[in-house]
Amino acid sequence: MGLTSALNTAVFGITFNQRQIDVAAANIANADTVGYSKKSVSAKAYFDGQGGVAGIISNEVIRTLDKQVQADYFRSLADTNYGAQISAFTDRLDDIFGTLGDETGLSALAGKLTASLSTLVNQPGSYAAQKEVIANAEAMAYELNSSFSQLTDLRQEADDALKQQTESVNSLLGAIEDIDAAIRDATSAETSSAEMEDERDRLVEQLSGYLDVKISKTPENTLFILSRDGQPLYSDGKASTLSFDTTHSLQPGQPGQPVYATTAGGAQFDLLGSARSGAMAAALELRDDVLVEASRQLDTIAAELSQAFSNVTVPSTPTTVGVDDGYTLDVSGLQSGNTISLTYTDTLGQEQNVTLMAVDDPSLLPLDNSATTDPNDTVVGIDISSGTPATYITNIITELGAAGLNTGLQVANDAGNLRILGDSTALPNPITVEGLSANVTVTANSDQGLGLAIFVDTRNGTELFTDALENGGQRVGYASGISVNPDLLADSGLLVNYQTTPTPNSASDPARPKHLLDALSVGTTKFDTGTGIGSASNPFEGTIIDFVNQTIAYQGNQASDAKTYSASKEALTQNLAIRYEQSYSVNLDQELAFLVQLENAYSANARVMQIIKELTDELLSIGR
Amino acid sequence: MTTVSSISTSRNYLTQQLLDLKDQLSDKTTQLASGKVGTTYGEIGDRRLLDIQMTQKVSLIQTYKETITVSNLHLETLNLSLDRLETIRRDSKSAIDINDFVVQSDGKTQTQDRAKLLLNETINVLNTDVAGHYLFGGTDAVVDPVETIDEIINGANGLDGLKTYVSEFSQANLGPNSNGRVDVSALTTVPGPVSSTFTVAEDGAHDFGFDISSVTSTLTNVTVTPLVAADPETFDVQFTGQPGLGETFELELTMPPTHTDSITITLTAATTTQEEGSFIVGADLEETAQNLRDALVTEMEKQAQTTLKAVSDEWASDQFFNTYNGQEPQRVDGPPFDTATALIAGGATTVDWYTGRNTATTDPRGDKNAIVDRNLTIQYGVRANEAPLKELMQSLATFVAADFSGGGVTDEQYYNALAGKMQGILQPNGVNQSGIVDISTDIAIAHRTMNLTDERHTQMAHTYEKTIADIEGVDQDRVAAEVLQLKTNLEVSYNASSIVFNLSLADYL
Repeated sequence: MGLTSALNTAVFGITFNQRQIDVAAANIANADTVGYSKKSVSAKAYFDGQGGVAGIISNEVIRTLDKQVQADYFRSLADTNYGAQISAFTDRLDDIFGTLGDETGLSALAGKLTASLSTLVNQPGSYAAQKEVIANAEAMAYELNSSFSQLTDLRQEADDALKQQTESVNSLLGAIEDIDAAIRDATSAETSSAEMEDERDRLVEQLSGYLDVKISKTPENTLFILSRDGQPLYSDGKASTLSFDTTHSLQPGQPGQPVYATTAGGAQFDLLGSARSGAMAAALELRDDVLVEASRQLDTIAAELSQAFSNVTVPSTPTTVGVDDGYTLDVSGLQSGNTISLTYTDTLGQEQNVTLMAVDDPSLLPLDNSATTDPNDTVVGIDISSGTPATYITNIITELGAAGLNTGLQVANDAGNLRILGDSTALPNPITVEGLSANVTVTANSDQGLGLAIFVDTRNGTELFTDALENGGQRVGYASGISVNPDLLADSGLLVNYQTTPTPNSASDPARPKHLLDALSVGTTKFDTGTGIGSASNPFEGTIIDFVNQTIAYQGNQASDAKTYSASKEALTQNLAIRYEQSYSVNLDQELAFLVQLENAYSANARVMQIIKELTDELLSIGR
Repeated sequence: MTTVSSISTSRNYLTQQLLDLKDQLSDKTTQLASGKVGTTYGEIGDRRLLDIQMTQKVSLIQTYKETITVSNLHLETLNLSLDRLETIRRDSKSAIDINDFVVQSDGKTQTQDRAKLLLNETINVLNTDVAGHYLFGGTDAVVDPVETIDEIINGANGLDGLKTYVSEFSQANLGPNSNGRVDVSALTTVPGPVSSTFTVAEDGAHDFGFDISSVTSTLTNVTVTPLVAADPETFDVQFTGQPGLGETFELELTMPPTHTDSITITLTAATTTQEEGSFIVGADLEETAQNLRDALVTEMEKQAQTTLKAVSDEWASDQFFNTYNGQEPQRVDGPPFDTATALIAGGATTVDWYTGRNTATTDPRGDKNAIVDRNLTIQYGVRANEAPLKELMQSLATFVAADFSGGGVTDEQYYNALAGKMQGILQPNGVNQSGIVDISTDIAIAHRTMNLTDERHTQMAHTYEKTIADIEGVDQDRVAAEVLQLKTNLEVSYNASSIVFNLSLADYL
């Protein structure tokens, strides 16, 4: 107890004050630095035996922030980035599929095509009316092409985004690894790691935007980062490496590559397999689901539009042999993808629908029932690669047998035609054949009925679109290659002239225009449920125009939903961001006030020292 | 102060809020300018599917209305044309005047000239086209569906016309002896004279010429064999003595082609031939028989030249003009025509007077369709060879083609017979309303339906557009008010932010 003690205390005070002023100055200087958390100094005072202050250790800089809010904010960031990314893309999709009052949107063009066909029915001979139909068909094909290529671009963009995101995440993880090591060292050396932790938080914040991750802290103040399904992204101071190969030209129907993560130990896992949020999950979902589905919608429109015009029904002839009734059908027109429909009632009195689908590639057999959109039919594939109707029939008999459907049905080759008879003597109920017809694509522009291939597939030269199943299906990506038949462009009269032998039909005959109009606006069909419209057990059934409208509404709906989701997530994140920021940010006023306080304390301490000096001087002058 | 200070510390919240406000303001301004809530279907809310469908319906209705405009023009013209044709039909009836037989220097009667004018006009009306659609050509005529008078009557390009038909049918019906192909043999007399016999016989089993239907005789000492046989092919008349004065011989002959109409030749035994339809009882039975035979021949030849010829002309023109539903005209199988016994298909050798749509149909109205609504098709096809129109053409053309140039009594009787036949075609007995009026009625109904549909479309389009406006549109007043409010908010926020950003303790130390 004495002056020395008081002086010591004052010196400690001044040192501590200086340290505090340092920190306050740093706080003020970094007030606007993003992610800079407010620092404060904690002091530990040591006392001697008499209760005097023997020393103050003031090296511990403390960060002020709310850990809970931080965790919530990081998690919500993943959702927001996910929503924002999806919304950005679906908004563009919505634009692609049509805008209000847009004369070149799919819906408007489908309407115009209908309108021009109905005008053509009224004036089949009018060259202008024929040209109008062709112009609208071209516009429709062009719109499908360009929409599809926009979708392909978007998909490529999503793929490229994944690549960039992979690289960003890799560099983030690398940076985390570096800074985490430094923090660990500082922690074990008991030096301040507050600034480094700020930096680490900034990195983790960015990481959370990309991926939905779980973050925990080890006792050594290092991080442990897991992917959503519990796979280690960063553990034991080692970061996993993400790898992703971009597909340089994503073809329709071609799946993109997954993003792999390889742990330091060499174990590899699919990073986004179970991801639900984050920008990367969004990019993957867009590339593999949303955009694929949208492409499929365009392909379905293109395919159904094409087939509605080009496919004709080949009727069968009622036939009776002995006591059994049935039908005989010409199967020579079958092409890959064409079908034969058979309806019969079995011995149990149940109506059975069988669709025989032609394929050129026998390795595709047997076909699944999902090969047609009709949920109530049994699909039986038949190999027509021989090109010989007699062989088709042999194959039909074999395949029906393999599918167990030949019981009681008498299937035979009747002079090159397919004959299917019931069995009037079957028990308990006679087997009766109710219907047999084929749906084939016309191969010529005339003399094959009223059908006309207005649209053709130009991806591989000019080919007929028959909806073949080979090579993954002709339908996949058809929207990119649909085009108006060049024959039709050269001769618009084909819209009317369906017959050349024995005598050409009149140039004013409305029969073909009427057929084409009905195909577009009256005939209903069941649409592919892979488009997201309709369900497998209850596929959307309607006219092509109905489907086009549904598609546009679907895209509008999707964009609107994504926008709402994104907006609500953003609002939540914004709130959390404010709260998070409030919890750590520097309040300049507070710091300045504190500085004034410190100034006062400093001068007070100095004053104490000055007094002690004066007292000491006094004491020393006594002996003189 | 706490709220403001918390904002001031936020790194971007305030700025973001200001940007949001500004975005909102520009959105609302766009809405105000365009009158719509947005630009994509995503932005117009859950009724977007309805909106898409309505927009499409409105666009379709526009097309339907365009169709209606064109079809209305067709229908109105069709109506006028049919009215005119009906007038021509009535005029034709009076033009083909039975009692007005005056042959002019060109060998034609005045009535024929008048008929020719009417025929010309008829063909003209039947060839009416409205913007490429031939009203009377079914649907797909691309040229005039009806040929010119000259081609129809005289033929063209090596194909035969109506005149050739008439002439061939005349030859076939009248036969080489111009007696309706019923020959009367010369008299065979058993010397004494014990008996005299002559035979009346058809020249074979065919539809041409007269057909002996029945023979009735009250002549005494005359035997007709077979007497009772109905529809004999031939019969003998044998005189074994003189008949009594006033006794009659009656021969009923039926007319081609159906042999349902008949004429009866009645000859009465008399002392002079002053009375028409009588024969003189001569010095002996042979002379009397000869007299009856000669009178019969004369009367049959006269009937053949007049009544039978008129019937033959009608038959010929029936065959020539009857092409409805793709029927082929049938002509006389020859040459030689005067001994022909059958008809053959003449499609390849005959001028096709009607070249419009002629496929088999149950209702020619169905030829021409105007789609005026999703499920409403107005049909107004008319073919110039439909019965009522064909009959008008047929009667006028046949009358014009006939040759009365001789100007004699036979010609006049032929004229009377033909005029009567043609009038019968123009207005059949027991029919009050002409077929042309029936067609007119069909067209008028179509026209009315069309107009009603048009009105309905106008109303529907109005309703749809209102719905679209409801979905896509914005309330301009409300948006204007919102814009004002946003503007005020934004200004206030700018002010407040500026104050907040300037407030710092640093300035006061």
